[in-house]
Amino acid sequence: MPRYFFHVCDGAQDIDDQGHELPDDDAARHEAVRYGGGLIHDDPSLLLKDQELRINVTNNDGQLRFAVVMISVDADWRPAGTARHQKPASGV
Amino acid sequence: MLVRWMGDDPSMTKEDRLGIFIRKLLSHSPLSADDQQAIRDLPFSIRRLEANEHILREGEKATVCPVLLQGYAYRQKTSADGGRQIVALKIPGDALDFQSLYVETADHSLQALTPVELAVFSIKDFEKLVAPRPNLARAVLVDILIEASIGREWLLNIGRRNALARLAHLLCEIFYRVQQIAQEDVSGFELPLTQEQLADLLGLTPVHINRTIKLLEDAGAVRRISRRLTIGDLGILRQMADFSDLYLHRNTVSAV
Repeated sequence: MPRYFFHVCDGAQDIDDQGHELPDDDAARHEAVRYGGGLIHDDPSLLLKDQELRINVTNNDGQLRFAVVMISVDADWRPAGTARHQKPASGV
Repeated sequence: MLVRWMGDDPSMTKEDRLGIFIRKLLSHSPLSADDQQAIRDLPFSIRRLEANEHILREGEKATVCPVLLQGYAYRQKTSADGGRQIVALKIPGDALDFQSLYVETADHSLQALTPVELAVFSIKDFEKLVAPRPNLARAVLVDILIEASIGREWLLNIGRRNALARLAHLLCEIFYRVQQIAQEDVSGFELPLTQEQLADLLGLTPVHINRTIKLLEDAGAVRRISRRLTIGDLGILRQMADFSDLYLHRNTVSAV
């Protein structure tokens, strides 16, 4: 089985030098999302200060296969067709 | 490697090997010399299993009452999608299935974590032993109650503690339990669980377990020898876990 390395970047870089054997990219992606979820569950403040949490997943050659990025953003958004201070219509 | 407290002592007779089981019962319940001798007089066989072998499967009806003399075992349940949860960890001296004295069908699977040596009693013999002996019956009950107490602590651990405190808490518990039954300094003892097994016990991903071990290592709380963990500094671990051993109910009764 290929080995994948899960590096956590949340301002600092936490380099995974051990890695984990997983069947394929899909399984590694699944693991990375669950891992990120676990980290945020432990410490929600990771996303509360305009920060992002990024998990870079590399393979045995050190090649980046994909990244999972979790981020919270300030935004001015409301459901379409509603005015300020207006609740969305029920049943929508 | 010889581990004398687990019975790796060539001068021990087969009956001597039951000493660790009696010591375990005495750690929470007073038993008269007569009760202790009655356990020693019960017929039993020694059975050796390799790591991962089943001792009892979910849905089976037990006919034997196994006691762990050497090695480690665990209880596990699995979900429909194949997710596995380790729901109890048993250490040398522990009876593995007192439950089957009272309820018929196993509701979980029981497996060897490491190579194990079991003392296997017939469940009928054990029932006959306990029936006329109220102090022995009480010891069996207290044993079951303490396992339930540990289960409640695990529920809190998995449900509400963060990964660092969660792992630290489990390590403290295993250390205290092993130290108590070994009755000697076990500070160098190696944790019998792999990272994958820790993940299935603590409800974390293996990747998260690896990172958490690194954090514990950086703090000096644990040491890694090849791929096995040992305790580095129990004081730091206790602090990280906010550990109290109240739920283990150790030494809470006086001997008869």
